[in-house]
Amino acid sequence: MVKPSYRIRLLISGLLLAFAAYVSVTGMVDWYENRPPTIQEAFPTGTMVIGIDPTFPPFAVDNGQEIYGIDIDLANELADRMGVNVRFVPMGFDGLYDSLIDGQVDVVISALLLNPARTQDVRYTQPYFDNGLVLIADTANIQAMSDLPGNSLALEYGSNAHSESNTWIQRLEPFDLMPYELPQYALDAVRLDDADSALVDTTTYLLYQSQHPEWESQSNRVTNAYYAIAVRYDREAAWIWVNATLGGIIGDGTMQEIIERWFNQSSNNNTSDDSSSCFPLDCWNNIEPGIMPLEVAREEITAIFHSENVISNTVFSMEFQYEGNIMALSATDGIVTRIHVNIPEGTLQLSELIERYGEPEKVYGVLTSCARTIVFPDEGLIVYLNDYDDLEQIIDTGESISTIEFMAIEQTQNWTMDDSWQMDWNGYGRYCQTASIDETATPDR
Amino acid sequence: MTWKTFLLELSGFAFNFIRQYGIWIIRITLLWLVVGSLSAPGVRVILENPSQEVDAVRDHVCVHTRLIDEVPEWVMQRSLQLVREMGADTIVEFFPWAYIEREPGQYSWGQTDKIIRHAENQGLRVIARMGFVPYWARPDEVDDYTTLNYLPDESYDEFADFVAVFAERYAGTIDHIIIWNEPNLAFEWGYREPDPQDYVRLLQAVYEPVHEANPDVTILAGALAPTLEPEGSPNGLMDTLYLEQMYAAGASDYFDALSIHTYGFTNPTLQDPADDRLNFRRAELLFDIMAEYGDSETPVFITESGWNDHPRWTHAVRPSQRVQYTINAFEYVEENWTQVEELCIWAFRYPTPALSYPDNFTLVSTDFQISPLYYAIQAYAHGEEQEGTLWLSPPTE
Repeated sequence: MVKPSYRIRLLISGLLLAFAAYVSVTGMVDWYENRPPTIQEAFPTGTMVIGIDPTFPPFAVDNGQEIYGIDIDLANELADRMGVNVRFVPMGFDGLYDSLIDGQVDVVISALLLNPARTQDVRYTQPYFDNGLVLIADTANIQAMSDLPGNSLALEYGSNAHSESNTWIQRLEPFDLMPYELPQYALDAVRLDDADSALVDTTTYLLYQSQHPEWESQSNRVTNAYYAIAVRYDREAAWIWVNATLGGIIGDGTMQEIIERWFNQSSNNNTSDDSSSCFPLDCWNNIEPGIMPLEVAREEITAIFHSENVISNTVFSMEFQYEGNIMALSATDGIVTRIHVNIPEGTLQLSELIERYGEPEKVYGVLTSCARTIVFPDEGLIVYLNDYDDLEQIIDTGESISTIEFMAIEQTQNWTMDDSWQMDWNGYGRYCQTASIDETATPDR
Repeated sequence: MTWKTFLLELSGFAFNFIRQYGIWIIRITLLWLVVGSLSAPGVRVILENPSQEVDAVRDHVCVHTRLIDEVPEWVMQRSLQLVREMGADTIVEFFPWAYIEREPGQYSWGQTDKIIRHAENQGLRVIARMGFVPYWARPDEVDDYTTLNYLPDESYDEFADFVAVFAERYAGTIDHIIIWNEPNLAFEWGYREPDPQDYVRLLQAVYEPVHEANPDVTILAGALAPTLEPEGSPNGLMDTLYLEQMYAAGASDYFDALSIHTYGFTNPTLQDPADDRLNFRRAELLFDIMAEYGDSETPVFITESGWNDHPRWTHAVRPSQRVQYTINAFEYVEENWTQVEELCIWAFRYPTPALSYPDNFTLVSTDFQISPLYYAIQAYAHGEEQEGTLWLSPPTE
């Protein structure tokens, strides 16, 4: 066999070396391009800027001092695990996507419904909560909508649950629809055996259940409404990190712990001493029902509601139901000026009120879209009415013939009385927002 | 080769081809028939014969539809059937100039004809809303970035020509035409500061040619958005100020009816109007201005109205309130606003869901789930009296 010449061997060796170098370089390039992104690439500033709408309890609530809720805990957990700082940018619900697309924030974590129409602009992570409709019953006989014929179904009038039920009632044998003004009333109806079942969204049910831990009920899912985190489409590295980290949070049970922590808050009576970080209703559970010393109330309420945004013309007002009582308060300059409790729930003759507390001093005009307010200053009592005509009659004639139906709602409202008297609603609670106010309705101006 | 031999050879070739491959031709044909029978059939749309009529007893119930972007014809037909069954006798529909006259003088009427055909078939009156400027009638984007809502002065006549062609084509079917939408908002005025004088010049350009094209036409002006933006705001101009300035610029000679938008936002129907308040009865401030300029007999069409019940939008109300306020609004119009011809609810149905708060303005979802508000309006339109509240009293312990 003829041995190749030295030049030939040199040439072959060179070609082999060149090939090896080519493979190495292209392999490295390929590896570099396809490697997982670093956290510096995902969040170059080392901070994850989060857009959030802090008016949707228990997912995010702004008490003026801090923002707290499920989404806040989730964001902090994500940041801890990724090793980045976190900064929240509060904004209105309708500005969330714009701020993300404009690059004002890195991600949106704000109980955001998955929206396929947005996927050209944003990437969604896997969902972390399902706020779809659930069928609630306290008997095992009703586990699905198909079990409803012959039974009654309570729901919130006009809601998605009502639309969904209308669809089902066309497919099934007849069943009774029992519409109520609020979803909580629908759940009350089941708990009090007025209805066989109720259809509400998951959040409403979990909040209600936490306030009535003694009630044994079953829930079965009827529809899905997934909440997920949104990242701008061109921020793939950020999406990879957030999605993977969220997967870990869900996978090891931390997400469930966060959810349970917030939905169980209001059932843990008197367990929290840190009023600045508790969920509002839970904070209120520290307050004993009955006539409360104003100083005690001030301390409690100021801790929760004092806000740097509160200026001299800003008033907070709140009403809510607590163990069969309606509680109401008003605060000016961040200091509670009036608070009263011990108003029986249900109906009450206004004459009884006036007999007890004297003529009301002031009518607050249209303070909320679902109630009007009168004040009995000597007693520091604020009463919310939901019947305008009744109120007019009382004010005009002094007659006390009307029946007041108190509203069992949970809300706060924050309105700024600027020159144009336009209301800036920043409320806790989803309903009864206010858009404007009469000048005559100036409490403690 | 003569024609005769050519034909003979061709037929011979065809005969041999069929003899050789005929079995495959039969197999492929059978396969095509089998596969074809498995595929979903298209929805065949047949106009109802005879045409339908709205049998409601209230004659001012109207909805703003969104059909121009709807692709399947059966969806269009089903939407309009539901409108009729609800008891509305009129719809407002958008007919974008940019969709129809894509090139100067070249018209594409297919989608528009379909909408009109189905609306007529359901016995519905159509109010046409005109807007959206085609690229060729806008300034060169290289020099001046513009939007579809940007109508430069020099294109007013071209817009008027288009509206005249439209009016002539649908004369007798569409006799109500709204000129532009919410010109008092910067967004709707091509991101320019709204200018009532400019808008009156647009009305002037349109009025005569459109009346010549259809002598029975009613030109609706305004379609003003409810807003509190002060003079000089980059976002818009308060509707009351805008209307006053329209009249001051001589608008009353160039429209036959006023179109207004009056939303309730978070306020109940009966709340008193005020200059600094956005609510349903804000319309009365506009009526006052009309009266001030001697125009109180001019008909008014509320071409957008309603409440929203999205749980997270700060301008929304509860679902139960939305229903009650809307029904109250129809009752209030019937009893108090004699000059108002129609109250049109925004919006009947969207072609695609927004999956956000705008969805909570609709009466029917994209997948045709019917809202309780639809049924409440249906009951009102058919004269069913509401006894007491729409919902039960709260349960008691």
